[in-house]
Formats: sequence, structure tokens, C-alpha cells
Amino acid sequence: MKLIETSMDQQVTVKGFTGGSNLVSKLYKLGIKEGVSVKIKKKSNICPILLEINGSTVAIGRGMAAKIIVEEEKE
Amino acid sequence: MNELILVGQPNSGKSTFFNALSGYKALTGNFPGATVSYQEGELNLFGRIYKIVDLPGTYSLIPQDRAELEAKKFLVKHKEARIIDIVDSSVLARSLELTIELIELQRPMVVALNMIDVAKRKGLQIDHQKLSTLLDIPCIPTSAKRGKGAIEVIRASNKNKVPEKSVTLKFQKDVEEVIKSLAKKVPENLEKKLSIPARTIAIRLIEEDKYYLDAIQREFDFLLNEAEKARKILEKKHDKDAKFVIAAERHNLAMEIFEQVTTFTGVKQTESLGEKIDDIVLHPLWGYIILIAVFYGLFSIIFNLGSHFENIIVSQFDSLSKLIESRVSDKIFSLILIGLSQGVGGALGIALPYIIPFLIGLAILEDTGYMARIAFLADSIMHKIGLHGKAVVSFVLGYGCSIPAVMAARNLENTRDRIITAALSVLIPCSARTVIIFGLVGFYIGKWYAISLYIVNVLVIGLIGRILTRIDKKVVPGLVLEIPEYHLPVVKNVLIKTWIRIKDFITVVLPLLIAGSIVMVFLEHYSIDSIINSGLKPLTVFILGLPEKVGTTLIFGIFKKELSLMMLFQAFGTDNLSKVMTHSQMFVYAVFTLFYIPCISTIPVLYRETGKKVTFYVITGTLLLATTLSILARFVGIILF
Ligand SMILES: Nc1nc2c(ncn2[C@@H]2O[C@H](COP(=O)(O)OP(=O)(O)O)[C@@H](O)[C@H]2O)c(=O)[nH]1
Repeated sequence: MKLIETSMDQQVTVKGFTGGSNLVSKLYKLGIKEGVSVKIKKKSNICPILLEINGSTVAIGRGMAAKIIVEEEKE
Repeated sequence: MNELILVGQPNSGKSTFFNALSGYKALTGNFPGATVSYQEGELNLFGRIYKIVDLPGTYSLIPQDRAELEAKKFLVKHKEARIIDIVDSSVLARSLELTIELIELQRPMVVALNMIDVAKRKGLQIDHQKLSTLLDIPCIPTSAKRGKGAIEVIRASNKNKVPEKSVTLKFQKDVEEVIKSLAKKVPENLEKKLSIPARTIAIRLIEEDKYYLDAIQREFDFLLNEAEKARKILEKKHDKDAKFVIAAERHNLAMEIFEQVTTFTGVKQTESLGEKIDDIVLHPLWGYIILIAVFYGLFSIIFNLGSHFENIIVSQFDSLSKLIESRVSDKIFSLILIGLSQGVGGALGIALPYIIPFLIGLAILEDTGYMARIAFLADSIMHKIGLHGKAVVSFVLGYGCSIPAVMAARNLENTRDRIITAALSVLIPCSARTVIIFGLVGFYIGKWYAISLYIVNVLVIGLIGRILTRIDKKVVPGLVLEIPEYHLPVVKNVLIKTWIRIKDFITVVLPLLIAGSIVMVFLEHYSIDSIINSGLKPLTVFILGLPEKVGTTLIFGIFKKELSLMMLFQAFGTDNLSKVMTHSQMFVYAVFTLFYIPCISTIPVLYRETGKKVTFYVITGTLLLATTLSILARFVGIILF
């Protein structure tokens, strides 16, 4: 599924990206890469999505969140 | 002299670290490059002199925009300098990736494990000695905010330790082999020229680092083909872009090291205070209410405080001018002196009362971490214009003064966003234009007419933004922004930041204001105003339906926006404008001054940030916009008044 389709407090693993390499580089810099586990900290209908990743908090715009493929982690 | 360069990711506490040393600093300057400005200081520590440079924060050394390229060039070119890598220990895993890139440069280096207190609070124990062994450089825990550890870091830099044996200098076998075989082809004189090891050059070429691609042009063109071949091999094997293969290597190394040197002590997994605050501050409803309250509070403090002090300061300089007029007999000399005093008075009259409190407020917003949250909240609104959250900072600043607003556009990653944001931010009514709106429309017509002008202004900006972003139809990459933890602001930090910015303002603006004021005094004295008035008649009288006498005031307004209102009283020789202008005329006049040409102090800043062409378009564009809107206002005026 896409990051934009997740719900709050879900723990997901990043699987890949559907955007260009410009977008991917931007995400990489903040640690959002394939295989990394992120937690959805906040999600609403208007604001960007707030993630927790390796102890830091990162906001991702909704447009970008539609280009990030994730998979829910099983407990 | 020993030169130290501070490098670190944004929010790692770099500027706090820099300022923590200020007790030992002999001098601090801000030297502007083409796109970034560095802070520079001189340090006298136990009899040794150090030059210390604070580069802008960066997540990675692979440059993605002009600012990062500049910073990178600076770093690579200063071969003798020692690198001080400021690391945010509370997000060690991620921060180590930059450290690994720095180690690849093979320069003398020290790691400052900053925010060690925050890491502890999170339950993260870091074995810095082990880290030191793994990386082969000194790693020193610091807490810059409390001034702890900074001196030790400087001392450790004296060891001049080059991380030759760092474990990070070797990637996974297959990747390493590709790099090695490319490295073998790197000629020795290129290594010498850049003063960077061949392996690192090879890596950066594979990553398509613009700096290195530029560096090998012409002379070493054959390397481009070789790098391309290497890239192909990696891509085939790993099924992704070569640069991401390398990034993944660094990521894995960072994670491995992170796991080796850290232990988690049992920490309560309850919500931290910061998270509780964020539940409200980033709430889709309360968040916006708080945002509006914060701005309302900030601006009402600034304006109330500002107008109070402005009157005091300006009246002091006014009496100085009168004194000069009565004492200095030589006419030309006296006019120059008066212009000088008015220019300085004008600059101080805006700078001290409005801009200083404004910049202090801004520094507090940044230091506490609220600024990033503003960008978060504004993201969806900014998307309606075709920009994204970070642009809002410029717009907010614009209500204080266009100059810091234009400068803040630097924070945006891509050129298109930067230019559009800078151009739009000059349309926002700065404090000087607020004086006109409230002094003319608010005072003579009514408060609600003044407020409606603000609303119209926002709508117009939104519309123009939409048009501009449609013309240059790049996809907006969107917002990716770290939301830092909350911090209590440190007074010293806030003051130093404010001081540096105000100095920037004074050096750019003061000379122009003085020159402008002197010209104005002469214009007045030799009654050139009537020539200007009749020259502008087609615009003022025929198109806008204003009295002929407003012509000069509009010219003065370019020098300093609030001057147009003051000059209006002077031009008509009255202290009650309602006797000489109809409500409709006042309305049109206010609309025109709200949108036309940015003031003479903003123009050079705009030029510096966006270039000649954009500045020219902004000047002509705003003039056209102001005229069009004023004509509309004229019709609206006929209906309303
Ligand atoms: N608790 C704690 N806070 C710090 C430390 N160093 C910096 N800060 C705070 O972190 C925030 C960001 O620091 P700043 O120096 O502006 O970061 P920069 O973006 O790297 O220049 C500020 O609010 C600082 O007060 C530290 O060692 N411990």
C-alpha cells in the first residue's frame, strides 16, 4: 500500500518509491529508505503525515506520501 | 593559523556549538557567498589562535542545490582545515551517515556527540570510546546548549587525527570491488589536484556528485565513461540506481556501528512531554488556532512596541535635521547633512523598533522548533498556491519586512520555489505598508476597509502564485521536513542570531537609504517635485483618478514605503487628508502603494538572491499589478463610497 493509505500508530516498512530520483534522494537524506521501519505518528485529512524514524520525527507532504510504497509489519 | 570547519546536519546544534565558544571569540563575521552565508569567528584558546567557520547544515555531502554545492566547495577546497562534525546523538544512526561521508574525505577530524543529554533522556547510552576506535578519530560527548564539551572538542582537534583506519572505509565486497577498479583509473594528478583519495573520487563519481563531475571536466573526460560503466555493473547487480546502492552501503555501515556502540537502558515508553504538546500544536483544528494566536500575539507586540519607539527615534533625528538647518550655513553641505541624518534616522527608526523585535521573535520561533511546525501546518495551504510548507516562513516574515522574507526563501530546495516565494513575499504588506493601510484607510475610512485590504492581498498573492507555478510547471517535490524536538530557547543564541541578521540588514540597506534620503532632500529643495508630478500625471490623474500632487509621494514611497503617507501630508500642506482627498481616492492610493514596486532596500536583496532578470520582472510586474488593481479599486470605490 501507499504511505498515504496508512493509519495512525501503524508500524510499516518502506518497500520502495514511485517517484523520480530527485524525490528519492530527498527522502534518503532523512533516513527514509527501503527496508527501514517507520511508525505513523500523526495522520489527518489535511496536514502532512508525521513519521517516526530511527528516533527522529519527519513530516512528509501528502503528495510525497502517495509515492512511497510501504508494507504493514506483523507483530 | 589553525582552521576549523563545523559541519553537521540541520538541527544538530551547530550554531549553538559555535555560539558556545563565543566567550573565547575575538571576532565574528558573516561572510556571504553567492547563495549561502557562513559564520566565521576567531578563537583564542590557551594561547592558540583558531579560525572557525560554521557551514550551513546539510544532511549529506552530495549537493542537491546551489547552497549545498557552495558549502561543499568550501569544505573540499580548504585542505588544511580540520573538520568538526557535529552529530545529534539522539538520532545517531542517521547522523552517522554524514560522518561516514566526511571520513571518506580523509581530513583531520573530530566528532562532537552533541545533544548527549537528549540521547540520555531517550534512554540511549553511547560508548564514545568504542565509537572513537571504530571511526579512528576522537569522539567527544557534548551538550552545546549547556556549553559542555565544546572546549574539549577544540582541544582534541589539535591531535590532527586523520581517520585512516576507520571501519567505514570498506563497503560490501562486490560494491567495494567495483569502486576499487574505478579508483585505479583515477589519475594521480587528479587526486593531487582535489586532494581527495582516489577511492573517494571513485565513489563520488558513481554517485554523480556534481562537484566532482565538474572537477573532472575536459581534462579527465575518460573517467566519465569509466564511471558510467561502474554504475551499470552496480545497477545490474542490485536492481536500483547506483547512487542508492552506495547510499545503502553507508546506511548499513551506520546501522552496524550504531548497534555496536549504543545500548538502550530501560526507558518508559510513555508519551514524552514534547509529544503531548504536539498532540495539540499539530492538531488539524487546535493547531491552526494556536498558530493564529501566536502570530496575533507576536505582531501586536511588535507593532505596539515598534510605533512607540519609532516616534521617539524619528523625532530625535528630526530635531537633529532642524538643528543642522539652522546652524550650517553652506546650503549644499547642510542639505547633504540633513539627508544623512534622515537616512540614518529612517534606518534606525525601522530597524530598531520593528525589525529587532521581529528578528528576536523569529529566532525564538526557530530555536524552540515551532517554525518547523508552522511549515507542517501550512503545507496544505501552500500546496494550493503550488508551493509547499517551507515557503510559509517567507510569507510570515513578509509582514514584518520584505528583506528577511526574501532572504528566507533560501531555505527552499529548488530554484523555482525559491524564486516564486521571494517574488510573492514582496507583495505582502510589510510593517511600513501597514502604516499606510491603517494610517489612511483605517483612520479615514474605517477599520474594516483596512482589514479587507489584507484579505484581498492574500487572495491576490494566492492567485498570482497559482499563475506563476502554472507557468513553470515543475512537479512540486513536496515537503520532507524534520520536525525537531522542542527546546527552550537560549537567550545568548537568540541574541547572537538576531545580531548577525541585523548586521546583514544594516550593511545592505543603510547605504541606500542614506543615498536615497540625500537625493530626496535635494528634490525637495529645488522643487523638482512639480516636474515629477506633471510627469506622472498620466498615471496618477488620468488612470487612477488621484490628485496630481500625489506623484512625488509615490516616488518617495519607493525609498521608504511609509514615507508616502508622511509626504502626502507634506505635499498637500495639510494635517487632515479628508479635506483634500475623497474616500475613493484614498482607497485607490492605498491599493496602489500596497502592491507597487518593492522598496529600494528590498531591491538589492532581491537582486542578490534571485538575479537580474527576476528582479526586473518583479519591478515591472508589481507596477502593472498595482495599476490594474487600482483601476479595479477605482470602480469598486464608485460603488462603495
Ligand atoms: N538539550 C540540548 N539541546 C541542544 C543542544 N545543542 C543545541 N540544542 C538546541 O537544539 C536546537 C537547535 O540548535 P541549533 O544550534 O539552532 O541547530 P543547527 O540547526 O544545527 O544550527 C536549539 O533550540 C538548541 O538550543 C544540546 O546539546 N542539548
